[in-house]
Amino acid sequence: MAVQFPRVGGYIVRVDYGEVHVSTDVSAVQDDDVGDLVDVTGLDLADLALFHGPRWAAARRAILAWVDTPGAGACVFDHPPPPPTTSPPVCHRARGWEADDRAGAL
Amino acid sequence: MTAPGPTALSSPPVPAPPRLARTSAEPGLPSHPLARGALGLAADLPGSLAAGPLALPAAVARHRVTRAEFDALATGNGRRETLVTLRAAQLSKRLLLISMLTEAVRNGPPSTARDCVDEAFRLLAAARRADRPAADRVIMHPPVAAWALRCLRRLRGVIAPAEPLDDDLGYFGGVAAAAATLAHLPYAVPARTRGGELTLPTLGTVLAGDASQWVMVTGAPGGGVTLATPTRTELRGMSATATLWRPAVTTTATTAGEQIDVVVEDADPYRGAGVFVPEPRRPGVARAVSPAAAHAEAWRARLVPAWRVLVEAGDGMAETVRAVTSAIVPLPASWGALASASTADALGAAILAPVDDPVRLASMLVHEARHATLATLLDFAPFLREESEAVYFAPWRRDPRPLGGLLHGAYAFLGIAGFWRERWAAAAGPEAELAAFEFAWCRAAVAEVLGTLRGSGALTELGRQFVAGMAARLDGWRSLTPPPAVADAAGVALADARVRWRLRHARPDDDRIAAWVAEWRAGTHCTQPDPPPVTITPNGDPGAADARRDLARLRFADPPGFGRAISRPGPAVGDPCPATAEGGTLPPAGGQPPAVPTAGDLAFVTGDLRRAAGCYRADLARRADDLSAFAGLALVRASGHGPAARVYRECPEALWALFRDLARAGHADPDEVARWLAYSELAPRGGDAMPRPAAIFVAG
Repeated sequence: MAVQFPRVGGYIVRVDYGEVHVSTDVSAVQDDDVGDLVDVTGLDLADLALFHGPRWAAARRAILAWVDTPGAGACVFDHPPPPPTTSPPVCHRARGWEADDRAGAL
Repeated sequence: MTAPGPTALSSPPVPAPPRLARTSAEPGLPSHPLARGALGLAADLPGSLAAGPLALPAAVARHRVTRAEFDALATGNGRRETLVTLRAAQLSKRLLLISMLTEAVRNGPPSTARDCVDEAFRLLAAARRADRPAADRVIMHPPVAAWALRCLRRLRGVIAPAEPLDDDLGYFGGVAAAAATLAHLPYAVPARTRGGELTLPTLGTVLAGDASQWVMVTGAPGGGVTLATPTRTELRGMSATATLWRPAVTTTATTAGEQIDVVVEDADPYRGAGVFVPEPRRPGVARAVSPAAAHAEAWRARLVPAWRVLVEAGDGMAETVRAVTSAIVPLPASWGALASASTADALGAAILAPVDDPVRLASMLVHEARHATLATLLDFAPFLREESEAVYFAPWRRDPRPLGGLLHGAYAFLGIAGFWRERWAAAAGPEAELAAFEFAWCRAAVAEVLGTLRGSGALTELGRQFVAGMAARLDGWRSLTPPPAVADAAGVALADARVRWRLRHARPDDDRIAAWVAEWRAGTHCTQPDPPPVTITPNGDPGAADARRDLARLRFADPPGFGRAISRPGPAVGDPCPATAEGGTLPPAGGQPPAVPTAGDLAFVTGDLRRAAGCYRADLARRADDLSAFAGLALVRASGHGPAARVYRECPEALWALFRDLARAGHADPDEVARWLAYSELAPRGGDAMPRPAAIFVAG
């Protein structure tokens, strides 16, 4: 089968105090809370370019995993690809055009 | 230096800053004297910059949702505070993206683009220090994420578009200028126009001729934006007197004290976000100065009643839409009148056709908001193990879908089901019937897909729990019983989609079909009548529009229109099933050409199944490859009883393959072939019963 599809969640940044978890093992979640996405919203933007070390590098690799899956966003949302009359879309994996069959798209 | 530019841009290139440390030697300070003075970098530099390399703070916070919030997202639309958390997580991702992009460019060779990125990054950081909410509003503008991803993908060689890299990198200047403007900072930053346009995200567009070129953008608190090009300096934007400035359109809707503000984004070059490719501006055509007021009013007129629908629907839908939708991106007309889209690459953007029906627009907003919510939640934890290549049936799509697509689709349509459930409860008459039909279809479709997901074995533990929460939501609706005709119509529509999908993508074993053909021609019994193994082979042929589906919905959405569609003049004498359509064209659905119902379709939806079967057989005699006709015949026959019905029900794709092979060599009748398979000694047995169309459609 020729269909290729990026792993959903493949770009996930899950940093547990610097250690990136890309495993899907639920044991990575230590308690009832969900999520280890590093929160940098309170940090100075200029600082982000200066962090270093293996932990930070791992977090960046996880972001790059997202970067390296072009078209994933367009495909993963289960929307129809563009009509054939337009320029070739980024979402190359999609084949052909169809109407969105959703209930709200009469 | 890659292009001649303003004086400041012609200065000697700035040496690349050390990768991780910056010293008082100022190797990375802005090259432009205006920028240096305007930013006041000596005061703006955070202490960490002078301290050299940084380690990630050991106690850096993490975005987390509680178990209760997780469960609420699975079973409903989430709470306000949860949605705030999800949005903050997206901001973290974008900050990381922008910083990584900057570092990648800084590590490259000297160039004007590098100067631009370097200075824009500093200006953006300064703007965040001065007014973080204002700067973050720009960073969270959906096209900014699409832009950052595109740039990084180019730099990493993931994509290789034909446009110059400078055109992409130069956009950063506009991003930083917009943030600085909102933060009331003075600034000067290089930027690059694209096709003569300079975009200041969330603020507007400046027209600077037709060419793509480097410019120096300067601004002062309370003042306008000045663009310096190699030939002139002119006040261009942020001024009532500026003739070549088109402000961004922000549309507001308020109902019962609940307000939503969205940017109607129709100019940013990255607004397509990989979903569609915006048409480039034609040289000499000043799109940027076209009347924005009328455009804004048109979208306000659409959004206000749609927002009212959402607020009145309750169930947290309006809150979700508001939390995750910051921009509406109008779709190109080629997508059709009722299409919508969104993408993980530009979360926050609802990419919409200009829909005038407020209920439809509201449902589209809910749909896209659900996608955005789930995409953000998946940043917290994966719900699927490594994605496999396996693909499955999704009722809302014609093509086979991977599990990730199924999960997203199920979550979106679960939200839509909730929307129609609320509409059904609040409406009366035909409007209630339509809502009930949509609800019934969504509920059944999602239930089927949740079964696929649970049976896949690919869910993580959290994914399993999330899907269980979605199923619990469905279970909560179990007691809701739409009128029988409505429920049956939804069931048949789903069955129709399923059989079409099988005919299109399920490929029966070639050897078995060849053996059947040989036995048929030899006049013997079928010695292997059990359903042959099939492989899912995606068929790229989009096929014709689905007239039966459109008719089914038209019946509830527009009863008078349905009546007109089925009351066309009768067939010509002597041909009870003309090949041409009887019912004319139906309203276009979702961007496809209008569906053309056949005589069989009209008979099918009016409950005349005997005539429908006859017409479909006649269609197949004319063209054995008529997928829609075979699917219609299969629906009719499968609703019956007996061995032949089971063949149609259990292995329609195998029956169709055999029938087509036989038809190529001469006459073949699908019912005759089905009987041949059915009445062999080892006839197919078992299988789920299909809904019975006869009980579904009333005569028109």
